[in-house]
Amino acid sequence: MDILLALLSINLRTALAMRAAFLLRLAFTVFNHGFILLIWLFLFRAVPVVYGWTVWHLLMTYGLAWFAWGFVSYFAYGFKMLPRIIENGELDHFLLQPRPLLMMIAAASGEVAGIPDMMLALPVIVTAAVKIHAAWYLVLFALICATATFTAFSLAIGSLAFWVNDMQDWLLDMQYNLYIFATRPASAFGGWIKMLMFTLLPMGFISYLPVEIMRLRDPWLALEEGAGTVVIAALALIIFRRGLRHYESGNRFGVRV
Amino acid sequence: MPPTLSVQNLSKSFKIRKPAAGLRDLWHRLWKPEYRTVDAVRDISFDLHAGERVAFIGPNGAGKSTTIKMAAGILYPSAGRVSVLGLDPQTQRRQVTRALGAVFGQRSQLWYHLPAGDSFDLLAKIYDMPDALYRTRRDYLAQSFELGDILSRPVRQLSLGQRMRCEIVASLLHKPQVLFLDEPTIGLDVDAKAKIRDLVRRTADEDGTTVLLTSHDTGDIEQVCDRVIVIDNGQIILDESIGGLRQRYIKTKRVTVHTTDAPPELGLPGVAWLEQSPHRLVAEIDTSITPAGTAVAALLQRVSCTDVSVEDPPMDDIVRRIYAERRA
Repeated sequence: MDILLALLSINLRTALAMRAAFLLRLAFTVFNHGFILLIWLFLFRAVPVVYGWTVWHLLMTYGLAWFAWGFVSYFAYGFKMLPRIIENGELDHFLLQPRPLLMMIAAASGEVAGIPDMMLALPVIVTAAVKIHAAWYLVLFALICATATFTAFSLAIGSLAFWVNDMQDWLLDMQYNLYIFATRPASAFGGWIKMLMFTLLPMGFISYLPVEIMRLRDPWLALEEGAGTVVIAALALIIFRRGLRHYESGNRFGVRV
Repeated sequence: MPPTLSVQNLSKSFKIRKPAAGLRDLWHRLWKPEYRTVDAVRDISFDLHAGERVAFIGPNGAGKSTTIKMAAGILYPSAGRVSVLGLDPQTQRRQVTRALGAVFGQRSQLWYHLPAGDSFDLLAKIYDMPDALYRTRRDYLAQSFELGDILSRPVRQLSLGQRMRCEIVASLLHKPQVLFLDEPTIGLDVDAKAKIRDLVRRTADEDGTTVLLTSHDTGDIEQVCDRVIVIDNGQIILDESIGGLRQRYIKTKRVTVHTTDAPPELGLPGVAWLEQSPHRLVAEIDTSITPAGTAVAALLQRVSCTDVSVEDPPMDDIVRRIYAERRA
């Protein structure tokens, strides 16, 4: 814990060393999300219910995905950047340190924009929870599962770089796609898209199921959500551990930022 | 006494995709890729005992870094085994790395935008060093390596030599039993190289550290190490003392003179021109026939120069001589 706090503090100081960039990012985060939320509010004025979901259900899913994205950006940025770390042979540093490897990778660097993301997502979640009369323990459960699923997906997708080279941008896009899909009204999807939601792009565990648990208060759905999160986390760990055996290091010149 | 580092029948192969020859082949290879296996390290064995300082040398692509990375637990061997202090670096990584220090010359373990001192603070936490012990050790190393105010300057503002001194201090902070130095003087000037060699040797002596050093610079090898292992094409071709290597294979020196004069007749036994460019002359001196000092003095009398440097022969030449002797 001590080392985790030290790493997070060093990340914060690194980011604040570039003050102008930090402030600009903060301003654009507020503007960007505020604009998107306004668009959703206007759209739902025209169509108040989409397959059983109101605008507040959508804002709940938006808030959960936004918080999860912010969490990964600040607390597990190393997972997000794993393809670059692997391809540039930067994993060497972490492998040489006597600490849990995944913790060191996750917290090795952090995107400070993740902090405002988390801070701004929370009021959206709380407001939506009040409007849809969600039980608080379910909101907390959904928040933990959604965040854990997103973090595990980030690790799993990043670990593919152990096998495929030169895919940094695509693998990063995949994480962004999951985030974008997770902020859409998932109740509208069916058929093969729904299958995709619980397999390759597991946004079902980030947006759809959490909101359905709060809406229907079905314990089986909660069990499904919990089990799904554990399975995705286990798969991510297996992919990473297997991939580590394929790590080829490298001798590219590099610095630690 | 069991060895500190033991490498037994170690091999490492990489699978590399064959490039396509032409457009049609590119399409074909897209669906049916073909691979070739590159054996970076082939069945090598050696032991290092406590306090030994060993140079692990060879030409580019010989397998030096790959071997060190397997010994440090970074790469998984394809075959064979490594043990560090009796532990397996791959399965007991956390215990092994507590006893390891490593510097990879082309990589930095310091945070680029932060002062080196902050990186040291974090490393002390990573290695669970008690605060008082850390401060004493840091101050001692900072004094030895003459870091002074360098510690409070962001790493991005340091010169390569200053940064490298900080890198070595970072790797020595937790007093490792084994130190891997992979090209620690790469890109440094003569003064910085000399300073780093002296400091590494002195600190390793004081701490009883086992050192495995790779370098292309024969100066690093001679001034830091007592033993040398030469690797080429993934195989060990020589394992002997530095004295033995010097006596048998480093019998020459190279003198480079920057001048606009025409190359004069040397007339010295054991001295011959290797290169005669318009602004640069390179002579090779067989020091077993003519001492380097005599040859350089004679040379400087015959040409007016803007700069002169005396170096050991490059590693490739030494490896060629080892092969030549083996064939003879």
